[in-house]
Amino acid sequence: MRVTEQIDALEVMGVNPITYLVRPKIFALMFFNPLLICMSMFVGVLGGLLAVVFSGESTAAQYVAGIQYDFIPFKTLYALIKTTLFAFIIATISSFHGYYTEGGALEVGKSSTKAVVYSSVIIIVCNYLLTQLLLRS
Amino acid sequence: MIELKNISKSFSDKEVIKDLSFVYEEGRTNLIIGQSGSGKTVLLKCLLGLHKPEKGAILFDGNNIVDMSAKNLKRLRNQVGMVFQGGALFDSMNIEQNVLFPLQLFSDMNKSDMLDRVNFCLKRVNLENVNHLYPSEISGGMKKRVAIARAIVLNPKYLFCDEPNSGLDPYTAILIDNLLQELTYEYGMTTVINTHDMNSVMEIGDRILFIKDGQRAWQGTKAAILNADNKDLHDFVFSSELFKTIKEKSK
Repeated sequence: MRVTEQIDALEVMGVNPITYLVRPKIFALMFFNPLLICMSMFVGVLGGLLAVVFSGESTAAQYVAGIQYDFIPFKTLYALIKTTLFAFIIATISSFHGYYTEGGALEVGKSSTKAVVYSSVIIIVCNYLLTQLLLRS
Repeated sequence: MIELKNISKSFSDKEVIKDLSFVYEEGRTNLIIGQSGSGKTVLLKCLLGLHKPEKGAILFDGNNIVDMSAKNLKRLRNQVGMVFQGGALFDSMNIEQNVLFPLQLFSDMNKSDMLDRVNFCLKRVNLENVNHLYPSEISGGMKKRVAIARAIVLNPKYLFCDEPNSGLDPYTAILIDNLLQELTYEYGMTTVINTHDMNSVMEIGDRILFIKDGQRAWQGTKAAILNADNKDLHDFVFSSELFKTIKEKSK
């Protein structure tokens, strides 16, 4: 948007481009990423159930008892905390690189690469720190 | 009226605008001309408040925007229309939504009045039945006209255009130029147009500022430009065979 002067157009109209463009993306991702994680957890567990039942490895009752054995509810919360933080990291870093991209198509590509690389590295570091903080005991 | 008083603007160590003073008259098309890299776009961005000059004052009807509070600057921007070089239409919105956008932000009108105003502005720039098309579905000339419609939808006092006819064929370019001049006279706006197209200069240049290396090198009207006694301006104006021929024939 910076490249095609759309951000300048917002500024000239008296609109704060960061509030208008970036904030909704951060809130949307922080809200929907945990929902997606919940869905993927459910689909994963359901897929496991279907796999063991249809392959004849065990019964549905045994599978349900198995996944509840040694289940620690806090780990679900831990997953949701992590995904919310990761959503924040992805949204802010990508928006930062997108917002300040200047030049042409080449620079847009470079900014996208930078956003992916920086987000990935920061997520790995934060993942380690969060795990140390929340699961150390 | 917009008045520049000794403004200077630098980036790092490079002074792009140097002690520039000029008056843009109300109800006139005021042109800024100069070679690429002469500081035209930086000057325009200073006028829009997107860049802040280190020295000098920019007075909009006596109000200096250089030291203006963000709140007052926002209020002033309601009176400013801007046509960007590429149109700067929002890709995710259709033509109607693009022109409607400033009204939704700053107008107290109800939805039906807003749509009437949008249709009026689109009609004024000779665009009809395009409301539901997206910017990617229209030509460059149409994009410029939509950008002009969006710029005038709030009835601005000041209209700024950054190379409004760049990338257009000569016929469409002249249509855009004439449209800008008609709107300027019709609404009594202070129009500032940034260009290096000599056809535009000769077509609509009521008042012209020629800048070189960030400094005012010449000022005058389109009538005076062909016989101006300024070497830099002469080299700029008569760089094409067409204008050389015109000068020869006018002798």
